[in-house]
Amino acid sequence: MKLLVEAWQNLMLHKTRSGLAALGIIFGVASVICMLSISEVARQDVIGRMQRMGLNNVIVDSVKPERIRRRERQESDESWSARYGVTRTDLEILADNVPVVEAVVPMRVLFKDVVANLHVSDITVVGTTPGYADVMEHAVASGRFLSPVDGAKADPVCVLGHTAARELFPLQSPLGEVVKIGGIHFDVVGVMDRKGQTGSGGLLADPDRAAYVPFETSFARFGRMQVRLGQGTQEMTELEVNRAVLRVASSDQLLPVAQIAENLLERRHDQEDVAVTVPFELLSEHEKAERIFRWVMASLAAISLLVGGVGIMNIMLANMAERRSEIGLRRALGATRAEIVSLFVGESTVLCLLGGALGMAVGAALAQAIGALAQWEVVYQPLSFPFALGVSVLTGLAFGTLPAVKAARLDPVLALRVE
Amino acid sequence: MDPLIRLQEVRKTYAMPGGDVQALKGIDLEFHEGEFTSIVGTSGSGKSTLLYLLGLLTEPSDGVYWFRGRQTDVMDDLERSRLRGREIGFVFQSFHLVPQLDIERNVLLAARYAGAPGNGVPLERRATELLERVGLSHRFGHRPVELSNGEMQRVAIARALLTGPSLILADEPTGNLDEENGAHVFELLTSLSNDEGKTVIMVTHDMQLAEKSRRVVRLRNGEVIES
Ligand SMILES: Nc1ncnc2c1ncn2[C@@H]1O[C@H](COP(=O)(O)OP(=O)(O)OP(=O)(O)O)[C@@H](O)[C@H]1O
Ligand SMILES: [Mg+2]
Repeated sequence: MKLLVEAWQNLMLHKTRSGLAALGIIFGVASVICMLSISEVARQDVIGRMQRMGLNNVIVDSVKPERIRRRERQESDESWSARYGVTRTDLEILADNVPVVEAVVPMRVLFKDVVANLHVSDITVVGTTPGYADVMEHAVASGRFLSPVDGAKADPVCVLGHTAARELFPLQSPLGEVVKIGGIHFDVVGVMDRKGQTGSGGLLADPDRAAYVPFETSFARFGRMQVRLGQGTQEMTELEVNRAVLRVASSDQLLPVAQIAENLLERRHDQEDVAVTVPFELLSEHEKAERIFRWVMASLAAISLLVGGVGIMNIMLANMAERRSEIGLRRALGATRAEIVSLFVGESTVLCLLGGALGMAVGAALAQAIGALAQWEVVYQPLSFPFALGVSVLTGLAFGTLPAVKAARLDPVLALRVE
Repeated sequence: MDPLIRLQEVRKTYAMPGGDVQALKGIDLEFHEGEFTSIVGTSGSGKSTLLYLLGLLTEPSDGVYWFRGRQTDVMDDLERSRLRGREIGFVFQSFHLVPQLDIERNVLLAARYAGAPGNGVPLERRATELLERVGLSHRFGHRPVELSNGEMQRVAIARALLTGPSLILADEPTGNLDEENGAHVFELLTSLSNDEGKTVIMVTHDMQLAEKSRRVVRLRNGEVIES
């Protein structure tokens, strides 16, 4: 301890040089802290999204074929229509032929305005079945979710997502109230809990900004077509189901189920307009990528600390050359070789310790700044702090030793001689 | 009375690429407590080598060196260093003050390894007393660069005295000083031996000063030709 205080005092005698020497360590540690934080943010984000999509689900998405995309982009003066994607028949076939599937839940996204008491909000309308709440693990906050009866009669009822409810009915409970969806009155029968973003490929990225209506109702009230009006033309696409979620009982059945579903659909679709994904698989793929990323990070950290350490060593060597006479003097005043070693090792250790501490602060600040720019919540890897500090102290010890030993080996008689 | 220092057949050889350099070729010398000695000789005759050898900063290649009856060449680094720190004070031609420290802290540095002399006076007080004694009370808080050469050498003498050593070794202490300052430093050194009974050994080129000292050891080519 006394040694460290003395080292600190010696370093303060050479502030500029000490600062420069610590710079490498500061940047090394800062970049490590910052990058670890970013990777942690990314990891938690991916895990969160995957979990919200349901880790025991197989997702079957409708994909707009390139042919139709191209057509949409063209300014054409003809009306046209096209159809693609998962159909209601597909759903039945999947439900009947894929074993161990507990539920098949469709999601049909409708682009309709949702209005209540003149409040307009940016809300996605989703036609789905009662199984949705279970399969997506999305709980009801008040009222109830859609029931089989609603669908059977194609009733105009809806359930609002958390945010949607707040924005449409800022002052009162939405239960029993009426919202207008695409000009048609719907009774609000329930409100969902907060869920958080899923960001699942653009489809219902925010389940809290949704209005859920019975799947059957969506066809009965709004028809099968999505109509886009051009200048005197109509572009009609028919898309029955945007997404089908297949719930399986346990995660080891995910891959076989996905495979079977893919084979079934392949036989029925001659264009490439469906895609089967397994969130769980994405997660483990992400983890694989993450592991590689970590190795890259670790090597980067090692390199930057190596550079920092070599910087320290360089400066300590220069320091030693400049303090030759002081080394000789200290020996004359009774310092042993070991005491000269600990003097210099102490200085480089304190330097690295301070550099490490400062680097952690800089890294944390940098992560905050990036978080603020990218608008995400900053998460730190808690272990990264003690780890960074430990590594910087070790760097100080490792790279401070050579200059220190050189200093101690210096013949005091030569050190005291005037050149 | 036993001598403070006894050298017997002491040699110092430096291995050099062009062949060995014999800096000291069999020195037999004794120095007694309270003695003031000047060592003189031409350049390269081995004066500094002898002085640093006496100061335990370098070891003889051959021969025996007793300090207060203890054989020093068998001691380890720690023992030699502690003995050096407590019993021996150095004064150099080029002062060797630490430029970043003020003069009090330069003096106090002497206690860093050797510890305080066991007389109960707090170190800081002892340091200021010593600086007063060498006539620098008006310079407290100053750094070495703000001092004249004569003043710097007096700081170095105060530093050499902090731990209460019995032996003062000075290598051309007046070499960088003008006549007046040199005389002042010489007076200080002689008073240490006359008034405090310290053993003072001074290497010098200044024959006038050497003649004023009680004993002169003359070296030539690594050998004592007069003692
Ligand atoms: N570390 C060393 N390595 C090799 N040779 C050395 C070393 N130190 C001293 N010598 C040699 O030993 C001899 C005596 O040197 P020393 O410094 O003792 O002389 P000196 O009498 O003090 O001379 P000066 O009056 O110039 O200071 C010289 O020939 C010198 O070159
Ligand atoms: Mg000399």
